[in-house]
Amino acid sequence: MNKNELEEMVEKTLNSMEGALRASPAPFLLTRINARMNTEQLSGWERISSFLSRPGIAIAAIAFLIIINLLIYTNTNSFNNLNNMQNMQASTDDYSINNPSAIFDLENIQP
Amino acid sequence: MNQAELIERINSGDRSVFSDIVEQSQKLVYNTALNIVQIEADAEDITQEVFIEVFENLDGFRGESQLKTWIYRITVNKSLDFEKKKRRQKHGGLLKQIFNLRQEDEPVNFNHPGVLLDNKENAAVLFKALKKLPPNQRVAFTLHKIEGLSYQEISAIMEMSLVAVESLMVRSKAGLKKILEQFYQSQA
Repeated sequence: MNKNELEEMVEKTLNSMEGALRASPAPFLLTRINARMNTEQLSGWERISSFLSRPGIAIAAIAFLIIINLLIYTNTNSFNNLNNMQNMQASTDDYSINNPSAIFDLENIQP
Repeated sequence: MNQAELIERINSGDRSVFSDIVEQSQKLVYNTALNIVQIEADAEDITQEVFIEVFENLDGFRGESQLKTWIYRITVNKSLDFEKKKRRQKHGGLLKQIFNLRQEDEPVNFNHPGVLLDNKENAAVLFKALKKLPPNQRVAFTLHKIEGLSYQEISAIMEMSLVAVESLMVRSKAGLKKILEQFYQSQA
């Protein structure tokens, strides 16, 4: 294909829509539009569920729940540790393990 | 129905005006959408969406622009959004698009139902080439060459200056020529 033929071909293609007729949509368009408008009137709950089911929102919600769970878990653990320490302290107090006066009593038993 | 009569009917709360608008503009909307998305079922969907938007915003239409221009603008925007959404679904989401992990698809053959028999083959090649142009250039070319609109009308629809539309047209023609030349050279 020489240059002239190529240019002619390109020009013919660029003008190939000249004289084209307009396409028509399928019949009863207005009826279909009305039907679609009626089905698109969603209830409040449907709107909420369709909003929540969007991938971005759903992923963000799951990530938020995981973070909240992790935070609660770590906070509960540190709270339990503190509780354990307090219990240990209470036990040592009860049995007077760290009480110097108790040691003195043990070493100086009266006849 | 002229513009003044239309606005008067809208202002008087006459909702039957909507059916007249659908009747008058359905071919305009369908053909514009079809020329952009190149799939008949998608063009049908877009046509319905356009008229739903027209219906919902009819009360707000005060006639600052021509009704035809307004409808064309909604159609072009809806068609481009539809294409973007479809491409995103097809290529597995936004992340892939952001990191450019997708490969460009070869456009499929589209045979416009209104094209004359002699031009069918060339028109299919033209539509395939059009798909490779940037959206703005494609819209400008489609509206001018296929819909037969003037640059003035296109500038109103695309909300651009006349100079910007002229520049878009020059670039779209140059781009198409290059794509078509490559295509025919590869065929030879």
